[in-house]
Amino acid sequence: MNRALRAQIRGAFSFPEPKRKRAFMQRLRPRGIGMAALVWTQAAYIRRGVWCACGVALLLALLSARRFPGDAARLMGALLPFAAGIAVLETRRSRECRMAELERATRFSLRSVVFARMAAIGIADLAVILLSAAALSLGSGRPALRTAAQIGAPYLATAWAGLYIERTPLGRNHSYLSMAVAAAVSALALGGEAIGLPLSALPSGAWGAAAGALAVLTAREVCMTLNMTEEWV
Amino acid sequence: MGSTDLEQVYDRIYRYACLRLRDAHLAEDVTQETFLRYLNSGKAGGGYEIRYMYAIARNLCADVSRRRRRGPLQGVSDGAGEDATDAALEGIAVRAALEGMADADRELLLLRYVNGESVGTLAALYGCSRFAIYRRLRRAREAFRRSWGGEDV
Repeated sequence: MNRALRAQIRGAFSFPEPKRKRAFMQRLRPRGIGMAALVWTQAAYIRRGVWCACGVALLLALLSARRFPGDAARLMGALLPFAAGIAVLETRRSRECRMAELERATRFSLRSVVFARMAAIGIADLAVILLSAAALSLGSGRPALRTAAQIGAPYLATAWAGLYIERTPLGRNHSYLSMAVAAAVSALALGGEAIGLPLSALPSGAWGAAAGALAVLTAREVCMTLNMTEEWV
Repeated sequence: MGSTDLEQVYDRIYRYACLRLRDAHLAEDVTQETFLRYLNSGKAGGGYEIRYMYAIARNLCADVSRRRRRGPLQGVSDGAGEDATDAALEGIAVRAALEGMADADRELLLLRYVNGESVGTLAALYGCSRFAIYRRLRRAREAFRRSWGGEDV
């Protein structure tokens, strides 16, 4: 069909301008979005470094399960606190990048946005912990739950302490304190034996109790962080 | 989806409804009802699925048509006055040729060459293969040529 005739057909199909379009467009409400969709969209805003840290941690877990089956859990317990430290840093991005004012102008509360980001990172890190525990327990022959508690407890300790410090004036004014906390927990996990803490010899129940208690404390810190999010803007 | 995309979708559905119903006021009603049904359907995902919206609009137009008898398109002048240019006269002739075609062929030409819908969208809308759409488009162009008077299209 030649161009001129196509233009004629378009002209022949011309209809009166819709009179109520503008009013209807203004009345259209934005579509609802569930929490899962919000978490998914916020995951796209999380820095690549965070995902790289998760990937590196998982890779190192798989490698150390093969090379150092006996010590792998201790090594992973020393590595994962840094993943927690990076995750805690993500909670302050809105403030640091001066995005908070803009994010507060969107459909969602700043709390929802921060919660979605924390949820996305938490789910990814939980997957890393569980997969690492499975790989390490296969290599070492120890129960997977014990291994998960042994490598998850330092992560949770860092997350709890890091979030607590972030709520203090000292933490709000100093960006990388959570990484300092991660370094301290990592050193403790790695060298606890040297200072008389027989962490590796602890029974499974002790590790489970520690991980459970730290999980509760971390969840409490997450709630308090979310409650204070909009006050810090 | 941005406001510009939303307006374009509105215009496309509106033109389709105008063609089917020949009444601009009813066409706007159908267009707005299409949007509302689409948004309430739970199928509204990342964007406005134009195929699904066309299907809603088609059903709504069918419902309206069953309840009324169609007449000439309301609110559109037939053409130019005494000092009509050649282009305006040709436009009238094109319109007359389109009126002489079957509804289905006319609808296909609107969707393809005015609304600019892809063959894939049309195939999904009509529930047939892309090859079938190509054949129907060829038949529609031939029908237009016959109605137009044998000019090469």
